[in-house]
Amino acid sequence: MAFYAGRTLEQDSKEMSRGFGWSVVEEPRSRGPLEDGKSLRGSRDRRSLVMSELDTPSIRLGVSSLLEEGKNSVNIAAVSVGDDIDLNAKRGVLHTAFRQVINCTVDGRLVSIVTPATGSGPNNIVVDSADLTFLASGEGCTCDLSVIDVSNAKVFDSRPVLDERDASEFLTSLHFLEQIVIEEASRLSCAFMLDERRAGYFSTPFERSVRDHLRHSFAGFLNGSVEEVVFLKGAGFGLTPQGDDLISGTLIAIYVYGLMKQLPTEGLRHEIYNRARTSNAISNSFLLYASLGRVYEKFKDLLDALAHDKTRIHDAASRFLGIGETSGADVSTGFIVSMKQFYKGGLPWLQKE
Amino acid sequence: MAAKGVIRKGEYFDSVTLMLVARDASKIDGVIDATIVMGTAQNKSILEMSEMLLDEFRDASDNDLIIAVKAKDEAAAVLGLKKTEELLEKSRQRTTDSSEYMPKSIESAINVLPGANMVIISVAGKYAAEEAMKALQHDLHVMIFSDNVPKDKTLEVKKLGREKGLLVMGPDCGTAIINGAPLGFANVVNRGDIGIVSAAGTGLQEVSSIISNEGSGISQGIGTGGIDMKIDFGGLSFLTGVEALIADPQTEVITLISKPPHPEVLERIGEVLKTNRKPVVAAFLGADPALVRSIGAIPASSLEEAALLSVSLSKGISMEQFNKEIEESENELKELAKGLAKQLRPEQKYVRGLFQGGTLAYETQVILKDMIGDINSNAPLDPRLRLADSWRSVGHTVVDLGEDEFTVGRPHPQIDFSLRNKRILEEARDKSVAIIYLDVVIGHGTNPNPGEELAPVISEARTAGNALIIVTVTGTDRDPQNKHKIVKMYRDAGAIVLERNASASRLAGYILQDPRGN
Repeated sequence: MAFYAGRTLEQDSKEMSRGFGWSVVEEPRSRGPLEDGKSLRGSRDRRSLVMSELDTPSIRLGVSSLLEEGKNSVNIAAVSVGDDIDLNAKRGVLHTAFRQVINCTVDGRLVSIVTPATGSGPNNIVVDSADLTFLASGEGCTCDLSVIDVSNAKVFDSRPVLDERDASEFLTSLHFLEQIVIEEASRLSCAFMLDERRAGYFSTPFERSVRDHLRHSFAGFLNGSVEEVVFLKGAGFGLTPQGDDLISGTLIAIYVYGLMKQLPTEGLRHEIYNRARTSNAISNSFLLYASLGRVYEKFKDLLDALAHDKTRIHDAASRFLGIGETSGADVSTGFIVSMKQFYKGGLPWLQKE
Repeated sequence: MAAKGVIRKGEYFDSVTLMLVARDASKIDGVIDATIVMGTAQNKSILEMSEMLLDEFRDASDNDLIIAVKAKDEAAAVLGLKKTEELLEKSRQRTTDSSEYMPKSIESAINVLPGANMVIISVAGKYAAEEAMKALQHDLHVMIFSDNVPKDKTLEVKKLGREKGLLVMGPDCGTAIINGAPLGFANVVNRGDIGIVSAAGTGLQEVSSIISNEGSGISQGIGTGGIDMKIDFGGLSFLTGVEALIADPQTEVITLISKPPHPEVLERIGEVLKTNRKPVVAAFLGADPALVRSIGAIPASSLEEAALLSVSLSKGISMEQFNKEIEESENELKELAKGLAKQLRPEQKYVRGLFQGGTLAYETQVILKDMIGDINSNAPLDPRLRLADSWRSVGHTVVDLGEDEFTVGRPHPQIDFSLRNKRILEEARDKSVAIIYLDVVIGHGTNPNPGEELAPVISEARTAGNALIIVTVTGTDRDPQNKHKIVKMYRDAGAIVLERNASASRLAGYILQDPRGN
């Protein structure tokens, strides 16, 4: 049995606003006509996405758009769309563009157009291309819906398939995952929190300061003080700073632990998210979905392997650790450290209340 | 000491770039510390503690990029900042360079590189044949790295390749060397005039490495995948490979490697060789030498002998000289065995071979069965000798750790040493074990640190028991791991290291034939 089967993200969001007295910042959204797991073949809501130039510079890629509005009607096939993609949205603002990811904001929320190598996610549109740079124009763009053809796309269900029966297996598997992270994580990742010998990889004075800051602020946060999350957010290296990735890991751990122990954790997750959110749209997006118990394909696969198939843990972990320079490892570390602590002594924040 | 820095507003780089550039910037002459981070409140706080927070950084937002450099003096800081920005700019050029474009189909790949004449396919097995057919239809040679390709589809692909005179290397072809480029698990070897067709991946690695280490080189190393020599597939890819080498002007000597082919396949190879005027050496491990001679090839009893014969033919060394050198080295091996055997206790009787390479495990069994009798294995020469439990050795045992039972859910043992390391220590504690036999295959695609991964385990095993540890290393000094360095580390750890599997196997055989060294 899958938890949350038949439920929607809006329901999740609504529940977070009920019963715990915490405010909801993210509005529930309309998801359009998609149904989970169904192909969009034959859908009338065929849509696509084009980027046209605006005066506001937001990116500098150094490549010219091959698809300026009105000059080209090429369609790019979407392989999958996330279950939080709003098909009724018509336009977005380009946020960032990389070879395998184009981020744009639609109604204040991030939508990522990604290659199959990046994988599915609640807010991802996976398109059949290995290189998306041709989608980006030279000096800032809006996104218009006319090039990405989603009619054959599958809907990615971002809910982890877990239940309380998986709890016993999970702890053993977690130990296996921990060893993999210790062995395979990149040097400046937070995996030093799993094995102190890795702390030596931080060699420059600034790197050591980052390491110590992350160590102390994460420990303070896990000590049961939700307020401490503000010292962790935005700290460290990377486009999505390492502190944010640790928080994402913890948020997913709270969600998973809550499922397994059948505890209500929605309010707690939401409070952490509210305190952790910054003006970094990419980080916020990851934090939001983590707080809603929604995960990206590679992490969903890892959770599935941890709960149901030990033989796949190594492969799934390796794929997840490949995200960013340290992001995969940092989320994993946040998840492992948190889960271990929860198994040992429950959710520290709830106990302090 | 001075700090300099700049805020880049609204610029985004992926995390990998930011961290690599920051690391490189820290190494600039005169720079004490350098970093590139997002301008969050916490990062500004860390910058302040590191004495790198400039006044202008205080206004940076979460979305701004801060580049900060601390150097020994003002001039070094200015220069350091300039160079750091240049590094960042270069990284941007690299990531937007059109040469990094990754096509998503064979058709678009052809458009990007119109002169290409070969495709490497590594997708889930059930899709591989379809992609291979597309490639062949575009007149491209194919290397199929994928395994678990359906048999009927495999045959279709091989038939079409044969009809069109195109190579179909694989399925399950892990190794090839084409025009000097190592593909898959392959070694960095000299280029030269010896062409190889091999239905055995580690066999191709072992032979090409020995040839290179002996100062000769490889023109082409064509892999076919092991199933090609079975009757169902008729050696279709092997035949095309042999024809290609016969026609290749760079190839002067042809070397063939396989387990014994089906007699009908052997006959077909003989047919192809009828038109050939180049010398051919064939190591069909365990095959009757008379049959090999009947197709016009010089039989080699091992991979080592095939390589050395090929080198001799390439260099024009006479067979008389070749045989003399072989005899001398064999006598040295016997003397070494005598000395080592004296170290054993009466209860130490058995060899336990723990292999990364399937072909090497096979070759060792072929050699040892004639010297010391039955060898139990999870991939035995005789089905009656199959281990009931592959995780538990019985008598003389050779285990191929690359078999599916050991690789489900974990990387190949040439990459992940952990499983074998554990087994080594188990065998070392068994008082009946005389020799623990290990192969180590280095080169592209394999474990980058085989020395650091295995040497401590060898030391521990030597301390845990009295077993001799024989190690053979397949590879060259030009491989990324450097064979010379690896061999030294293992010797320092207490292993007896031989550079070729067949010699190492015979050494083990000689020791166990006369375990008291009389």
